[in-house]
Amino acid sequence: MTEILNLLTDNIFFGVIITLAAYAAGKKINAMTGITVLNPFLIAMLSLMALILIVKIPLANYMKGASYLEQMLPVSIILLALPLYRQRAKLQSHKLPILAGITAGVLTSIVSTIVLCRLFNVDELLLRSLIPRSITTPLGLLMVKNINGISGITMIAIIFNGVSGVIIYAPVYALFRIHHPVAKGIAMGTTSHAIGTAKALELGELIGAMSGLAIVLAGLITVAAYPLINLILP
Amino acid sequence: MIKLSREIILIALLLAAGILIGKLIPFPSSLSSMILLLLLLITGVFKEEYFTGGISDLILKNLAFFFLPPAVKVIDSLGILEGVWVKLVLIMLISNVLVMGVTGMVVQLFLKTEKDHD
Repeated sequence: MTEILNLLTDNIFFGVIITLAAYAAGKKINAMTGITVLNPFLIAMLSLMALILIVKIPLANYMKGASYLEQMLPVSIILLALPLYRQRAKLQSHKLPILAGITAGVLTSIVSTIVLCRLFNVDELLLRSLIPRSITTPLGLLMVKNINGISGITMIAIIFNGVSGVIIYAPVYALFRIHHPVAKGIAMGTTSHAIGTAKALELGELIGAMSGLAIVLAGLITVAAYPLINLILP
Repeated sequence: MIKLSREIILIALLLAAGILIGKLIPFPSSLSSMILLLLLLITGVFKEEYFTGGISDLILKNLAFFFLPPAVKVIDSLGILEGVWVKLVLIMLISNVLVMGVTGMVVQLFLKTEKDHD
């Protein structure tokens, strides 16, 4: 049985095909249920993990093909220039509030993560892995390499941030009296990148556009802050 | 077909330019490429149409797809989380509330001062 399984999965097509199938299924289920938290990525990720763990497919066999998909990382970073360019007019109209807000958010994220990890006695390697979690995956994975964290942990933390933003936004907006759509969108994108932006788009077009803008800017500001992080974390 | 080829060639050239810049200054090459693309679009050297309705939009719309492999690979590092995951969830939740709150408040504060100047 294990031999047949190995025979079927030990090739470069296997990983690519099941990843495609899982993503397509995720999109379909998301469209059918319309629940933001159940986003295509989360559904696909959990079903792939379940398949690999339950059927006991060697992770190395899955990665044989799947690692080629990962090679798209630099391409996706380059293409982030496009949404930034498309939203330049919106950025232009409230340049200072947007940049000030995102910079404050990025610094809050870095500082609060360090302080809380120290308070809770979390080890250094995990701390470093949690820092780049507010930003979009390609930039987060680029960043975690720069500050020597574990990319797998960063990956989980990025997903956690996306999902948590969708759950906490209403009480947070109320608690901090955030009512302006520009502020709502920037706050969502800075905390919860693309997953949060999907929710922001449901809340309103301007909120969604601002959240989309914040994804790229928060990512760039966080990457720019990495010499600072290396300075704080010797 | 010609449009698609042009798009792929431009992306490949941008990638190569980023790698070259990375040899000269210590800066992530994919980010150099991104900033270069932004500059070329702003200065009008590249038209936005070069990148619309083709492979770039397809990738941008389905960005999450390419991150399934690193996410699935997490299976391998789950062991590290044993015993600490409750702490981590708590830390991330508190931090996220602060980040969202502070970001929104600062944006609003600056929007208000902007209005006062009008």
